[in-house]
Amino acid sequence: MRQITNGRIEVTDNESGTIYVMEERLKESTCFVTVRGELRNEFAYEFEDEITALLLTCQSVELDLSEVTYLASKAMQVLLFVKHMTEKNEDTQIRITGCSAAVRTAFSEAGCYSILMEQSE
Amino acid sequence: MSGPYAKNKNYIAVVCCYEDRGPAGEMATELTEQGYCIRQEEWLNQETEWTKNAGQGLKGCRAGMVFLSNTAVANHGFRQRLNYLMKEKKPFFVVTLEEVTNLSLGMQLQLAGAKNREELLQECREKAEDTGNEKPWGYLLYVKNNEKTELIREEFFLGRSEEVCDYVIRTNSMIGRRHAKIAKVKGTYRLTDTNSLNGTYLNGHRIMQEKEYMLQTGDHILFANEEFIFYSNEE
Repeated sequence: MRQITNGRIEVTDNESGTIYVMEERLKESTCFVTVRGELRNEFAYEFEDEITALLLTCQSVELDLSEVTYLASKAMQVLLFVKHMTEKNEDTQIRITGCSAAVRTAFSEAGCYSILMEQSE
Repeated sequence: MSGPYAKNKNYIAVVCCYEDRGPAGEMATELTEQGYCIRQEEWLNQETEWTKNAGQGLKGCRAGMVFLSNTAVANHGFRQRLNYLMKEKKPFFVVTLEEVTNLSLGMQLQLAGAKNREELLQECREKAEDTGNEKPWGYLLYVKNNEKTELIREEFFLGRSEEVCDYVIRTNSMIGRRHAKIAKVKGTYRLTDTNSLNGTYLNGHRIMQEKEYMLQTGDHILFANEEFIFYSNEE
């Protein structure tokens, strides 16, 4: 389940309460997104839908993952897909401005750390 | 493909969620009665998977008709379809069914790009009429069932994939994804096998891949094991 208030998307479930929060802010043609919490497989589609929508409408997206405490494979897949999408479309770009240890570990274990770093540069 | 949108490249695709199927269906019927070509996918519920047909339906459409409600924007399938429309740069108009309070920033920006409904409908109508005025230059007769398929576009692709072909034989795995092409070039008719695995035969002889062969009216063509006869309307 998700709740949206003033640029804040809160994804919750009945058992655990808040799973993760996405805060969005638009400045000129750049959208700044901060994610906090656990990007679990079962809720990764919320993240995917929103990031995709932003990339299709904004010139650039700056994604701060420094407060992500868990990154599941589906969420990683979303980030890789997003990278692929921006490579194909020169009008759009995504930049990861912050990475938590959980995110770095997940990408390292999957052997995709260099891809993540390319995005951060 | 089947239904009123078959082979029509100017259809409008309906994007709505399962709960909104009532008003969406009514409007689709109304527009169909007015002469528009509307394509409705299976109705979406929260669990609906992204099906191949749904993707093709949106990819091939002229425009999208998006039904907006609180239930719809909370639906993953609905959001995926809207994203897909945007990704494919398809124009769309929005039918607001109720005041929507839970719009994310991404969706707000997407909806800001919606077109005016009347203008887009008019555009779809004009395009459809343009297509309707084109005269076929020939046709293919499917020997198995005597079905005639008109050749309208200058390049006509036949194969198994709806995405890349004008005529689709979906049920025969011997047919390649994009098996062959028939084209009208400067008043002549040409047949090309587009790298199919099981080959194309012209009057019993297998033709070489990627090489054009002249066609005459009455020629028998075998796409793998599917037999057609080519007829020109201009001879």
